[in-house]
Amino acid sequence: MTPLMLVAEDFTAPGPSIFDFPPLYEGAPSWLTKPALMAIFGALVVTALAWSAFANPKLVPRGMQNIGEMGYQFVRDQVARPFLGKDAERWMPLLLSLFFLILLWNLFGVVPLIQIPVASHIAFPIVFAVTIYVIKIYLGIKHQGLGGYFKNMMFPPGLPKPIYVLLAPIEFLSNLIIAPFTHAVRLFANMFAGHLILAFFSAVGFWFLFEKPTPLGAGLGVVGVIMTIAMTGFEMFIEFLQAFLFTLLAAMYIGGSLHADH
Amino acid sequence: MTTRTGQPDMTSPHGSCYRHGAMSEQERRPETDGRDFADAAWSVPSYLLSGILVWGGLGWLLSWWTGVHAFIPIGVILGVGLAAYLVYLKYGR
Repeated sequence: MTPLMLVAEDFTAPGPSIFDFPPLYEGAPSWLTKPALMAIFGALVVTALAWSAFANPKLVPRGMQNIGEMGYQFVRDQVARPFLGKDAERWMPLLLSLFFLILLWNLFGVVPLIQIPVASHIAFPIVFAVTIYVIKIYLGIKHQGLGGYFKNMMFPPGLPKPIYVLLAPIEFLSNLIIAPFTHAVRLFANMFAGHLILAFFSAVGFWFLFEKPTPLGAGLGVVGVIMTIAMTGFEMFIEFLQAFLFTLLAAMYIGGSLHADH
Repeated sequence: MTTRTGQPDMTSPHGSCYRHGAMSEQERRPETDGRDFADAAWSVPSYLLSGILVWGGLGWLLSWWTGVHAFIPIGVILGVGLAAYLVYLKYGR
């Protein structure tokens, strides 16, 4: 047994238990945990930011309004317009709030002292995904009719009838079950895995440099610290990307229900 | 569009919405052209998964009833093939 293995013997990698939080204080309801508090805090921050940016707009934007309009233009041009076209403006309030709330919730993962991405608890992405799912089906039935919506979804035109028997079940499962499921899971899994990776590398650094420092283990500890810094940067990119993708898919589902064009 | 001179174009349904940088339908076209591609890119995994689940699941049921295990891979492959064909029909034609 090498000395390196000796010091590594007691090291335990952080597991899923790092996502479990006790109630905030003695006698608090069991749902009132750090992630729930941060979810509310994030919503308040987004509300405050939007208020300070757009409550009293000036013709020549300055300060917060400038930043707010840059965010608005980004979501409008990159998310809303490609999928919603001329309906983009009407859906901007929903998409903008969704994007910035999820972005902030995700970024909480790398903010010191907070350090928990809210969406790493699957309940939060599920609420958003279900909301978008309900909107998608409501709009589809409203704009295409009950029969029309399911007909357009499951029966792409111009095919021999027997082919539909083979393809319609795939369309049904894909649009109504797999799509909303992956919509929520994609965000959740990215945040969960990212947080676990960060926790692992910082635990390695802490253990081998402070808890049980040994000449051989120190090198491993330095690698842990360097990887923690590198992965924090990478996580920030992923956190932005996942907020963007979630909003983009929401726009895509809404756009698909407004116009059946395939 | 006359927005570059600072005059909002009131004849366009969207002309008055933006203070600057408003796009006409003509200018906007290249962006919306990307939509089908993005639609396809995000739908393909979901279709492939659905194809495997529907037809692989049917194969699994058949193998369960008949005891012939070959139905499972047949169903999965059929499902992937049908899903790929469906993607071609919707986005490739």
